Amino acid sequence: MPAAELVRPIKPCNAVAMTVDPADSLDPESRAWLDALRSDGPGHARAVVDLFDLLHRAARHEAQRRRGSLPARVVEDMDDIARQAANDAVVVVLRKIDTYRGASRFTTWAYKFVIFEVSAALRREIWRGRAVTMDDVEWERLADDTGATPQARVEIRELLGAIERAVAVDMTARQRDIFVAVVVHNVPIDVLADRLDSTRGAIYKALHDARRQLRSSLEAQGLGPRAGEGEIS
Amino acid sequence: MNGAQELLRRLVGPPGDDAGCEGTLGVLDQYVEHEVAGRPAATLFPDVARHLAACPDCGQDRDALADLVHGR
Repeated sequence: MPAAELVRPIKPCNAVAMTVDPADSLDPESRAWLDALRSDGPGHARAVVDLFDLLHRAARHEAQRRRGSLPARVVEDMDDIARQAANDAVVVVLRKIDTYRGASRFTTWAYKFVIFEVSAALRREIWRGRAVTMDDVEWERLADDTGATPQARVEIRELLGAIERAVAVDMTARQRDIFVAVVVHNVPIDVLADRLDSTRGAIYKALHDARRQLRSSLEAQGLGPRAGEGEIS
Repeated sequence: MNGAQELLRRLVGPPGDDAGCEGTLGVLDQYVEHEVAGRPAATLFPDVARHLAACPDCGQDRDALADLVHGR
């Protein structure tokens, strides 16, 4: 799934950081990449080859970093996966080159596309041939109450019961399937997107909506997170 | 945080606006460069930080990009 096919964001990104005009802030290396890749001359073809080499090294680096968690059959295919990811990322970078604003180094900007491609490909390969489970939930296994006080165990059991009811009753079928697969069975979103002929962004949107529904259902029963709990700042 | 609250946090994710996958990918390069430089990326991009905490795939991609940039 090329990065460009992700769906629209749930909310526009409210970056506090200042945007940067590329004309007055590019470092020399980024400027050289941009000029070469935008040129019509003989340097363009060389720059595309150099870009592929850069992204291929990055893809191989990422595959190698994950090697310990990859099945043997995927390790055998790592080089092919990295090469294909680099090829796909080159296409995306060239298509998006006019959107590069110099807010980061060019190489960092380009790396994110190859990381997206190689990560998604590795996830799909890891899960190739494995069934994706969307039911058979043993809710009590979600919480480890080892060492919890009797009172805490009662609270956890009560919460799990409310969660099970909310998932069964208040979520749509699609929300329920995606929530159970991702949150309960730890199926990667990219894998689910592949199986459901969808995109990472669309699957995440459904997961986000499912979580919001769950939060609302639990809050209605006085079981929601405490104020400030889980906030990120 | 007790067990019930930890379970809740994991299941419902962080509260607040979420940049989504596309919004996050759009600025992930800036976010990671701020992080690697020791600047408060989560304060500069709060909706991206929430997304990275809630989306396992994007969170892994952040780690991968940070590893590349850090090792450059």
